Amino acid sequence: MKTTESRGSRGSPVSRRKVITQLGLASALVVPALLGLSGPVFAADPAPSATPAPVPQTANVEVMILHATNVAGKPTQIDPKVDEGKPATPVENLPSHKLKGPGLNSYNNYLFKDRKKLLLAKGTPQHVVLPNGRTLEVSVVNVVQDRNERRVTVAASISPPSGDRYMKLIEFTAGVHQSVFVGGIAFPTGSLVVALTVEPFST
Amino acid sequence: MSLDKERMIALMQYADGELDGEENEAARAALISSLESDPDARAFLDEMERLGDVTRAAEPLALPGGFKLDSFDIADAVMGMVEEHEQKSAVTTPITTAITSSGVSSLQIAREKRRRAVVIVATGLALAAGIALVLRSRDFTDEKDMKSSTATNLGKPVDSVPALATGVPAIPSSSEAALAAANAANAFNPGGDKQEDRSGVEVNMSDSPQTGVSVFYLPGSDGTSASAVVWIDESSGGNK
Repeated sequence: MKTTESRGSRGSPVSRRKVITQLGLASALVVPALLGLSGPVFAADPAPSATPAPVPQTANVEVMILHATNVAGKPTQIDPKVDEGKPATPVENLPSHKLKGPGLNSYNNYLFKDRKKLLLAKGTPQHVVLPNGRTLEVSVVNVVQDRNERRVTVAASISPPSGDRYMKLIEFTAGVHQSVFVGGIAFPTGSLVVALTVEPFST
Repeated sequence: MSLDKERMIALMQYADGELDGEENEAARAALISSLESDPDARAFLDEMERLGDVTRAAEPLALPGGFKLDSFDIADAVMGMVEEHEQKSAVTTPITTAITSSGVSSLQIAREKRRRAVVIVATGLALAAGIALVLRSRDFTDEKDMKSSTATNLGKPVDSVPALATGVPAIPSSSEAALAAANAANAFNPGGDKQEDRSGVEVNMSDSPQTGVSVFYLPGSDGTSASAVVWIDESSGGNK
């Protein structure tokens, strides 16, 4: 009787091992979850490199010059040359479509005047002579690698109608295929519109 | 019958043969001699002898468990029944039941219950951990999908889209309504230091000397290739 009781109170060694195994498994699963840790399997991103590669401080910028006028009694006309070299789709991204947007749709006739593709290096501005005789100065302020996209900060200045000092128009930061239209530059019968677009980077 | 207690005991001893030895010869002789003058004593002795004859002539007393008593003995009968019961319990009763009735069994049962509880708790913890990991991995997947989707749609990372952080109203993807919304949401702000397009174009007018300037942000088809319009009103005296 005593032997039986003693044997029964100890329990089965197999069951004991089973319980310990289950407890160990549960702890291994629960503790990291409760601590908010993600195991190596769930690592979101590889560890960033200690020193990222330097970003070349150069950029390709397209300067497109348009002559905007208003033609009474006619529908909007846009020179098809403005879309040359641009992806046909999506339509919303075509310059001709953007020219119908706010600020630009105050004119209903756009005539293509010139297009310059500039390879700009930081600290070295380039100049484009506008049809009105004034000069547009374009320079790269900075080029950064923002995760998977390279972004360029561009500064644009224009020479005043009188005098030789450049007046800063804008400074903008954009990615590839993103544009800034600068309009309202005085020109006979209308105004000049300058489209500055960041082009794909040279490899 | 007028026999006192001592007299009756002596007669019973005689009837039982307890006075048969030589050492009791005197007492036996005195008792026998007294019977001649005591009819009550003789009658009592006759009764005792008749009772003894009946007992001896009867079948042996049958007891449970196969015990048989030639003479009736209560103590022997009780002890016999107890032994029989113990033998039956030891042979036929399961160990757990026997232990249960003994009081020591509660310890084993408690341990058994405790072991089962531990197994249940461990299983529950493992299940909870599994659920937590599934939810966590799902959150991770959703977050990753959102990032990749945003990067695909907007052409830039999530955290570089200012509107997501600043709470600027969403701009519809296309149509004139979208442009009107863009116009309303991004109307020129002369005092603003920096205006950011949610699609990535950031225009900084802080150093511009012009006063009559309007800035518009144009959405792309699906948020890609967004553009900005900076309108300089030179006709109003800004840069003429």
